[in-house]
Amino acid sequence: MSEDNQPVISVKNVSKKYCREFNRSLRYAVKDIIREILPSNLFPHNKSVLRDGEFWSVKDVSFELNRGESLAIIGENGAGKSTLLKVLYGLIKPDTGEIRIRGRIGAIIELGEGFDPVLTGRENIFITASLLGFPKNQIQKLFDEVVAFSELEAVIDTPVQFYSSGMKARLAFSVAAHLKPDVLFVDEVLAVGDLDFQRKCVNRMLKYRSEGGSIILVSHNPNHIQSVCQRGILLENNVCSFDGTSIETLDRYFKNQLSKISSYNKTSNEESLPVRKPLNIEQVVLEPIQGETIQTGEDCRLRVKYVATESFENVIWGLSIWTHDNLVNISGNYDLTPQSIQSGKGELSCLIPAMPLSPGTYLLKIAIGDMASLLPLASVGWVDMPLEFKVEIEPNLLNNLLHLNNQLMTISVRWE
Amino acid sequence: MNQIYYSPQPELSEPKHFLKLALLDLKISKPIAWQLFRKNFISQYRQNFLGYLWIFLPPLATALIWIFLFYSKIIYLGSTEIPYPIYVLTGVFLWQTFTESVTCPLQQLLFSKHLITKFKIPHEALVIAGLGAILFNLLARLIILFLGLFYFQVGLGWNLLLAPIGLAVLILTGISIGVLLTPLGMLYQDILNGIGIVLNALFFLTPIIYPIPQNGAISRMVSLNPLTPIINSNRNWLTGGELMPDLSFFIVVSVSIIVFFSSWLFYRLAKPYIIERISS
Repeated sequence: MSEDNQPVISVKNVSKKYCREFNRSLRYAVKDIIREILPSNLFPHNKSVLRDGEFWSVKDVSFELNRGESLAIIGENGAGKSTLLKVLYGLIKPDTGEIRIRGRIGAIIELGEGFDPVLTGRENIFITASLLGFPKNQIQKLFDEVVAFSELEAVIDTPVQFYSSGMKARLAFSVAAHLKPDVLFVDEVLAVGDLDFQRKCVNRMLKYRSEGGSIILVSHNPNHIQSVCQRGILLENNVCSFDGTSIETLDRYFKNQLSKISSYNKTSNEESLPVRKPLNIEQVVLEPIQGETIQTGEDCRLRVKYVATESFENVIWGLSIWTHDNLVNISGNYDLTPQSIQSGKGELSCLIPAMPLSPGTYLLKIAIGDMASLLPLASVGWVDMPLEFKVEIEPNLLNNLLHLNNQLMTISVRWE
Repeated sequence: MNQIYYSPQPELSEPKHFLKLALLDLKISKPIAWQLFRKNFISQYRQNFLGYLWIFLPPLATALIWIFLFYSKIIYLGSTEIPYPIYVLTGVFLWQTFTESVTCPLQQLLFSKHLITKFKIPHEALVIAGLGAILFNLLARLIILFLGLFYFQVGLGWNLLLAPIGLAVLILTGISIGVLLTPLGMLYQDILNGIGIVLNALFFLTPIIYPIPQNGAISRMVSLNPLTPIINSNRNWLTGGELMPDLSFFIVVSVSIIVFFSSWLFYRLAKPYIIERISS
């Protein structure tokens, strides 16, 4: 190919706006359509300006992707990721900027939409393949491969309405997985099914990438993002706030998530809750026995200060420690010896000897419950924001090694 | 090397490229349209107890009802050259094909909202698939019609050879109106409902169940109705009537062709705006 040194996709200052109000949105659509056919000086409209009721779904996004590179688009729900993908795919027009793609494109946006439940899996493969843009002669050739990939040989001639949702997803994905465009847009559905099948899906995408394809992936799954994409962009408040490697972008994303969590947390422990429950946790403190900071291997005390408006018998409680992205429950413990709580202010406490956590930032969740019913009476972090706390360590070679690999726990080892 | 370029500029600023894409879309529509037509067809009849027999039941029922009405002498709207049941049956079948053609584009696209907002399929494919269904229904109607012609001993003339042209014109006229209304119809629900009402009214202003009136106020309206020459010529060609169509027939055909092509291209310009505003 003569243009190998040119980026396979270049996006410059692309924006897209939508209108919040339904009726107005339709009226704008009519006006926009009429503007397409009239000469531009008759009813001029600057597309880079918001009309009444409009908002930017995506604003000024730019990036370039070379052949074989893959990019993840990361962001919260509503940040504009799917909109951006649809603009890149060409389903909708950008309001500003330009997009240039050197090659063929394909997309996996939703699985199973083209299925007709009355028809068999076999018949639906042909339909889905033609909807995805496979040329006619290719579909027949790929048919056996698609069926083999889906692992649905046994039921391929059964109507799709008898498939489970997992089977439908696998069938739809198996067709889409055989797309071999130059750029593939994937909206969330990189892998479906059970863990084994998911691994198969990811490997398939990696194979496609190794054959020179580029993937632009919208996802919330850090594993998928890190294994498939080298680069990432972060969409925050509808603008691209960061462009770097996928790992860096993920890191930025989680840090932002966390700063939102900790800012909530500081106020929720100090202000009184609007609805007074019988048992309210007022403050949670995790402090070292000695020194100023919680250190790996050092003792620390956990104190849960509460206010109760009535007494409780048979109370149990416990703590739970999570990674700062709130995805992994590292450890926890529960005191199942029933206690009684008197009305008024009080405190539950425990000692954590030799804190096993490696240096880092973690989330702490507390739950106080009733022994008989095992229902929670009060909690922190389960339905509201958890407490964020840092574990630190003296900087030295061992400790830096421990910190570098993102390890969560330091086990005590007696070297021989 | 396949190069794709998107920008906010109006498509008409590069007319050659716009037309090239339109023709390309038509080309790739064919296999997709076939798949969709086959899917709709199989899916529709697979769930029926009587299966494919249902294709013939609606036209057969229509025919029998009108024959019954005629023989029971409930309706008399004037004498016709050919037996009245045949006159009406031909007219009704032609009218049904026409209305199906008018509603085809909008219905197909509204029905496939979930597809057009997620897959990049040419919308022409959806309309062509709908057209396939129209042709199929038409075939069933013609078979019933020919049975009726045989029963009533109505001679078929050589002008039957012009029938395919006439039917093509009928469908073209219908589809051109349909495509014209589609962009607005995709956005506003009223249009589809409104089409139904207008077509119902138009039914009575077209000489379908009555012979062409020679005088009176209604005669003026019927002669101004663009569908009159279309229905009339088709009826003549199918039942061995007059060979030469009126001048108005040629006028309607020419206008339909112009409307069809401009509506099609207009829809293509409107397409991205429609996709972004419709809910999936």
